[in-house]
Amino acid sequence: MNPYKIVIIEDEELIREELKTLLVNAGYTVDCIINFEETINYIKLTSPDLILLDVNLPGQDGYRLCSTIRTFSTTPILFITGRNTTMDELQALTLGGDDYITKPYNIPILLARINLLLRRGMAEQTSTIEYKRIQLNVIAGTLATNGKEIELTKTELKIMYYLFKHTGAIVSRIDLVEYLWDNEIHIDDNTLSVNIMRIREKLQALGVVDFIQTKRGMGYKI
Amino acid sequence: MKFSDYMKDNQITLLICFSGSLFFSILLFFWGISLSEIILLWICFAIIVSFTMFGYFRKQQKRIQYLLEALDSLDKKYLITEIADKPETEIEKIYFRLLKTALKSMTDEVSEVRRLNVEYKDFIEQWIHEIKVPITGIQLLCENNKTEIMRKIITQTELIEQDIERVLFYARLGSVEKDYLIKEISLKRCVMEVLSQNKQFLIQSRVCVHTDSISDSVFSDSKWLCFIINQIILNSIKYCSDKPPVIEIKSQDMKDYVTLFITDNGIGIKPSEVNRVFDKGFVGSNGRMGRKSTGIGLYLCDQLCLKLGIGINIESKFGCYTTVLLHFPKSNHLNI
Repeated sequence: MNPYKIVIIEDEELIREELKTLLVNAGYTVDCIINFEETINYIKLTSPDLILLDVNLPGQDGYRLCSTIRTFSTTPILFITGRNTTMDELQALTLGGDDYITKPYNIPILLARINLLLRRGMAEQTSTIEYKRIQLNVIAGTLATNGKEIELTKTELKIMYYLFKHTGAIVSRIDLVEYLWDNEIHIDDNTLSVNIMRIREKLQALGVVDFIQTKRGMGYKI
Repeated sequence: MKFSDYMKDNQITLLICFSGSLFFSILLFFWGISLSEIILLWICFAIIVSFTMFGYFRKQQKRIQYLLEALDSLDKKYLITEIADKPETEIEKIYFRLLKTALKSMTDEVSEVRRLNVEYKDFIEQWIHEIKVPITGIQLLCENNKTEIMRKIITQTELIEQDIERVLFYARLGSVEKDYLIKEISLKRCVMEVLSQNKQFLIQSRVCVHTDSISDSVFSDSKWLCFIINQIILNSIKYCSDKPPVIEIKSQDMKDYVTLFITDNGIGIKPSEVNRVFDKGFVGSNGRMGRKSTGIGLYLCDQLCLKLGIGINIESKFGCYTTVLLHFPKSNHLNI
């Protein structure tokens, strides 16, 4: 996978560094600008794929910087700011910004917006994942083994997808719940247990036993 | 001004006229003028006095009538001294000057208070933007070093954020009309945003949210709408019962408007209190049961809905459920 290069223009050191860590963990190449007088030259030189731009910067504010960048580049610009009046939003968008997110930002939303701007599709385009001779078809939403097939509900599919992505590792319940919440399924711990139980029943119908192991006090593992 | 009031004001003058004429008629009587002639004089005098007084009364009444009408036609009553005709009599001039000075000093006072108020509001807004920087820092730190403790810290910061947001929106309440952008927004997206804003807090509260039947989109301002939905959801969790909290959010197209239902399985609201929950500072029996109610959340919602043209009402069965309904008007001329 070709890593996208993101430039962070933010004057708060801690936020800059943490944002960098976050984006590096998410699989991007990240550059930070420390000397703000050189911003323009730097961007000209490196031509990044995306710019995260803070509005309150020393010297020149983000809006002006944005319109300067727009004179020579069409790189997507995502504004990050503490101000959230409609005027700010309008200004950001009319000056050539592509999107606008307010502090304190919600991290999944931030990542989703970045993804959207980089026009990266859904995580991967493979439709089936196989593990221990069980196939998970993400598009059809089914589990199959030995020629037999069974349908999953939306929630069950997401759970299975997450487990298939973390094969061999123990997935804690809270991680699983959080993942589901990030994917528009808002369930609690108990409902998760119910869903896992249903998946196990379905697996049993396929003739598979003990595919999902419960690690007491830790979580699930496949 | 009634004639009797006028007479009352002028009773001293009348008394002096009467006693004067009585004195003179006694004098004239002793000088040998006959009674019939004196009565004639009395009648003449009475006619003169009543005509003069009535004339004055008419004049004054006209003037007062004019002033009252001028006042009535004014939107800002304190501008009366600028609008009214110049005073004619000396005494009126003095009153006029008095009124003018008093109003002037009042407007000065008001504008001073207004200036302070604006300054204070600006300060609050500024402060809120500044406090957001360290909060963002905390959030990122927690996200990058996720552990059990960090999750709890995120929960707490989410709560702090809620409260800060509330301050900001309260400060801005007076100027909603200057700060909104009406466009077509998807209710689902709005609800999702609210849920993910409070993700940790909601997960920690072990709440289940059903959002499958939200499909409509409405014309509104997403920022304010998110704030309203947020307040409602937080309330649902605050007033949950012993049962595991479940929130059901759905939307329905009602032909002329779209309604968003937010139903919880919480403790509900007593029938006697349902109509008062939108009042500022209303706490109610639920709030007094140690649930840290401030009586501000729903008041803000109500005010915002009023300004955004959204209908809001509550249905509840005590001990069973509470549903908050938001009605978004549909307007044909928006579908160009």
